[in-house]
Amino acid sequence: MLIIGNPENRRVTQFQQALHDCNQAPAQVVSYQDILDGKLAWQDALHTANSIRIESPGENFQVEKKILELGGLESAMDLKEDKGRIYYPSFWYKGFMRLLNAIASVAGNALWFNHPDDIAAMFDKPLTKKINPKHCLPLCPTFNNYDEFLTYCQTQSYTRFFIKLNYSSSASGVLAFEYQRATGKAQAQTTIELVRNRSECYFYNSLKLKKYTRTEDLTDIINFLFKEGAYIEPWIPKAQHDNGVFDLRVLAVKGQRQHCIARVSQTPITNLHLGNQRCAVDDLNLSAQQWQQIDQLVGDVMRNFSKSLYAGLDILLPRSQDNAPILLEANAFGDLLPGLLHNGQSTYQAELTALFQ
Amino acid sequence: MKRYFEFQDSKSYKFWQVEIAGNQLTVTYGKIGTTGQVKVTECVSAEVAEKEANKLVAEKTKKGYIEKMEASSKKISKRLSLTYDEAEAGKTLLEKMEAFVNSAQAAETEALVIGSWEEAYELSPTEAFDLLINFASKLSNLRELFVGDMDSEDCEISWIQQVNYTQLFSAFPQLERLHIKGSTGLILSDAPISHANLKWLTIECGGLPKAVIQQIASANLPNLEYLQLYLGVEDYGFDASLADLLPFMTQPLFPKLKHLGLLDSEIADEIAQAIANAPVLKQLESLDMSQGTLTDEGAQHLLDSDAIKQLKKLDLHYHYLSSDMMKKLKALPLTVDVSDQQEPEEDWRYPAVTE
Repeated sequence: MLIIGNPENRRVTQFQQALHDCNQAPAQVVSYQDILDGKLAWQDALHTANSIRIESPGENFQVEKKILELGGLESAMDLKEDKGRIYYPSFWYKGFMRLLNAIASVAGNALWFNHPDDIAAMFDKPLTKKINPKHCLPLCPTFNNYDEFLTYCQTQSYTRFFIKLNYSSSASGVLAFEYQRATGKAQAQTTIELVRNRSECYFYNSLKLKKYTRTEDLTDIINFLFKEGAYIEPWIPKAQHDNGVFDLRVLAVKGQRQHCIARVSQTPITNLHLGNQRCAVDDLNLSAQQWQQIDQLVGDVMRNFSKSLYAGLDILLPRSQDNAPILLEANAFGDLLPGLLHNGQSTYQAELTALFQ
Repeated sequence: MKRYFEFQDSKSYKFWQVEIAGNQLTVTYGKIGTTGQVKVTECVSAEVAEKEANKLVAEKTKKGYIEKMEASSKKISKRLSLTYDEAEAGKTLLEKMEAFVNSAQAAETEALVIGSWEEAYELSPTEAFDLLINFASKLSNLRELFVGDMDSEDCEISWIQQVNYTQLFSAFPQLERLHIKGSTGLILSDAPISHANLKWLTIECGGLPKAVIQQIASANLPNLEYLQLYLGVEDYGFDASLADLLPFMTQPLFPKLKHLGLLDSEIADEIAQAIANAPVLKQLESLDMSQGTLTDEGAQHLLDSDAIKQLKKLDLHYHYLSSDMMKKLKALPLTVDVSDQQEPEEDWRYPAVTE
């Protein structure tokens, strides 16, 4: 078994622990750094591996710079480490796609935890929608800048939208936008923190939800998102629980729903990262029909990502129970759910069980 | 042992019961008038069961549950609200209100909750509200009204477009509870308010205008027991000052008032200083100053006050107090809620983990 990842990251160490707990030999680890630095050994390793697990390349700035460079950002290696800073998401995606292609082209006949093609598709949120039209919100018009978007808002009866980066995750680059046509008032609630230094704007991922109402701020943040590539979705009110709203993270393994957790938030944006409360799904008292609809969604979506053993699916349950659940996004590395058990197994154990069957 | 509690606010009307039989702990809860849900726990001993029961009772009491000897009767309530999909399909609150006032249910309804309406951030529900007023005689049993039961998923609270409530007071002389959410465009009354039966008044908003505060301070509400005012911030419409709030503290405005809430305020420290020894405390059982910017400076006045100690409950949840001050307040001989301490986060930026 081969893991491609950042060796120091808990994703790799915890997975190795899971292998150990199953009395399996540790997997060989090929680091992203080795691949990006062009160390030859990695290609042989991929070619001969029986099974390959691609892990998240995140939380490592050296790797991030290399991916940006691979994506065509000339100044990539000169970038300074700046915790939480959102650096060039569109360049990052290009670089990551090139990296995935390289991995796919070199690998031999292996079982994939998550296939490079599926990872690429899952990271591209608009593409995910195109692939799963039945279960996703339809695509809306796209915009080059904030002014174009406001012009569009003037023509709509419902003027509350989510704006999300095309290629992102972990609630990075997500903004909940509201507009009052009569007065031109607008506001955004977002995990994006805008910092101004002289005439420059810098954007960070913030754990604390930020609220922006000034036109200059809204213009700069939303222009940034559209420039990097972003899509809009109507803001559908999420189902409520316990004084908050929630959505679901489902781990699908071999096409079937396994682990499932609700993320309860007091704000419009949900993600466990943001200090949301985890909530056991049993406490939600969902109906049999709702579960059946969720399972239908999971099955259909995973058939469209058929080369992958697993994915972490973010599912929105609308407030009106008549309405079907909606796939918000598919996360290629969405199985880091420590302490969450299903049938007595952790997420990694469940995947390993499925792999060895 | 068997103890029964009820909780009522503008949205909820529920019960909670705990029973012990040996080492078996049984909790039953749900809407009043239903059998509810049951959760049974086998404890290791009768002592543990009793301890657990007492802990749960303390939690519920803190939340506002009140112990009752017998169950209240079921309340006939109705909710009128437009979902996102209904609004998209072109339905209106007016349609729903028309259907309701003309239905057989109307005469029986005791509590009416108006949730969301189409484009609540742009439009006020004036037509639907006027219809309600015009059909007041049909709603002979209406005792409770809540207008604007929306959360931030439905609409930003400071954008909820409210209405003029002047006619409500004369149209519904039997009304006992009124809850208004949102203060944009809110006119509580053009004329001096006089209502014999109103017991509960809540205005929940991001900024309570001076005009509304004055309308309440000059109102004749001889039976008012519960007054809950979310004061908010200047940016969202709170254009008053401490001076406008003093009448609630120093004048005998509402002889039956037992609960006063001056909460969600950016001048919480000033309010705390002013109210700590104010005459109104003598008649109150409960004071709510939660969800504001209260710091140790304001809290010290409350701590030092003899009058505060005579209250049954002090709600200060969501605050900026030090842990030390929290401890001191909790040691007072009354129920004190100092949960949800706000502190500046040290490390609030995170790298994109890329899931």
